[in-house]
Amino acid sequence: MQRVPATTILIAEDEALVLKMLSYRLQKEGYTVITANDGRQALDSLRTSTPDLVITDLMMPYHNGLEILEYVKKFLSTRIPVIVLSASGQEQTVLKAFSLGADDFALKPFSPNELVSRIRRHLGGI
Amino acid sequence: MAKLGNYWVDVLSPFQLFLITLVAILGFTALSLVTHTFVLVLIRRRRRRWAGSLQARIEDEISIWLGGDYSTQELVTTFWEELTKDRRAGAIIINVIFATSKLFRGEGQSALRELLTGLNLDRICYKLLKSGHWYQQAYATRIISQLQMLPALPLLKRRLKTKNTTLRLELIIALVSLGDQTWLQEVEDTNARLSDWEQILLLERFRRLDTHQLPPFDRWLTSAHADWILFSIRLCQHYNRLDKVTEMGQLLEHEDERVQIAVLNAFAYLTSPETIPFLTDYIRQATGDRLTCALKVLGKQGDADVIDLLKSYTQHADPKVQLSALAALKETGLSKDELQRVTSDPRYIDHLFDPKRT
Repeated sequence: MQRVPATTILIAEDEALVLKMLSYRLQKEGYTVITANDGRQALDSLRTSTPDLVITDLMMPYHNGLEILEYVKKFLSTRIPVIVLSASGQEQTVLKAFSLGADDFALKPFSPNELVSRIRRHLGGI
Repeated sequence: MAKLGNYWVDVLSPFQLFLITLVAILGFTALSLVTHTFVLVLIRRRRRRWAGSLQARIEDEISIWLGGDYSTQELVTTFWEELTKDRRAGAIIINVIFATSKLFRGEGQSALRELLTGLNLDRICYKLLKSGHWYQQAYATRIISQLQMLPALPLLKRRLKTKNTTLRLELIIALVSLGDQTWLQEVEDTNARLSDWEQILLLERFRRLDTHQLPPFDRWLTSAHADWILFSIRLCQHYNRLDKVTEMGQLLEHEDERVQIAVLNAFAYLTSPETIPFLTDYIRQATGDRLTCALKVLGKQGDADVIDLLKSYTQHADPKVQLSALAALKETGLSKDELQRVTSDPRYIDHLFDPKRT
């Protein structure tokens, strides 16, 4: 297994199970994981540290995933990949996410292995 | 003390004694009830706390396991311990597995199915399917469908004759998602009624499936039951089944007016030249709302060959038909001037070109 030390990933997800599972899985892959249960926590984390990749759910309390995405791309760096997770595959939602600069869009239910390989692909250049 | 006691008893009349006894009994009963309720509340709270902490523990274990830190066998052993301690843990484990399976697909979902089977909890699902309560059957059906538990197929099919709508829909959806199609005839024959609401729910669930997972719904076009024909027409429309225009066109002769209107709606959506012969034949014998609807649909096909036929209806005795014919002509691409030459009433043209209409 390829270990990528010192690579930080922020996971913003209000679904506890997804958050826990992804967190364990990515830690096992060698990444440093920061978790946020809602949009407010995610923005707080982003104000104090800059992750190498952000995974955000679309529908979250306080601030939704699009706001998180907008914050990353506007105030941090457009080079930080953002993967949007959503249960809604509506064309409008997907287009909105991409127009705001989302690098990837994963539809729930998703395959954990597939998501991890997408993360690896996005972090490939780091 | 005995003298004092006797004194009080002696001065009381039998009725007063009866009242005192009654008050004492009622007081005791009330106290017992309060105590009993209090104890029950405590027990319930304790159980809820236990269930909450067990659920959190199970969620943690499953997350770590899905993350790849445990083998399935290790997790099965851990959960077996919980099950041995308290059989009620089974229901909580099933609930967590079901909730988790909705979030993941692929290897995550098959691992969860393996876990459920490894813990013998699939048997609980099968047992629930035989329960006397429809909601328990429906829940078990959902789990079976979600976790793709194929061995449950015969059990699901046996339940299809149920009169409970919710359960029936769950069963149909489960059978579709499990990829079984032998139920198609059975469900249609045993459940002639399929309300609009049921059709909407089914369509909504069908939409989540990949095209190859869909049942061959076009076979219901020849069903003996109007509701199933309607459902099939609507599905053909939704999935752009242009290859079924001929079969749908023949249904314009169906005795049920709802079927005819559904075909017209489908033709309006599909807009294929193949629909024109059916529509022109239909227009010649249709009256009232069906005629106005058919004219509009014919106009939507945008074919210049139908212009003469549509023009003949601009002189119809019914003003509604005249207006529909003009609207259809407008759809075929006729200009305002051309339309003015067709009708003697300029108000129709003003209405058709009124910017507020759009």
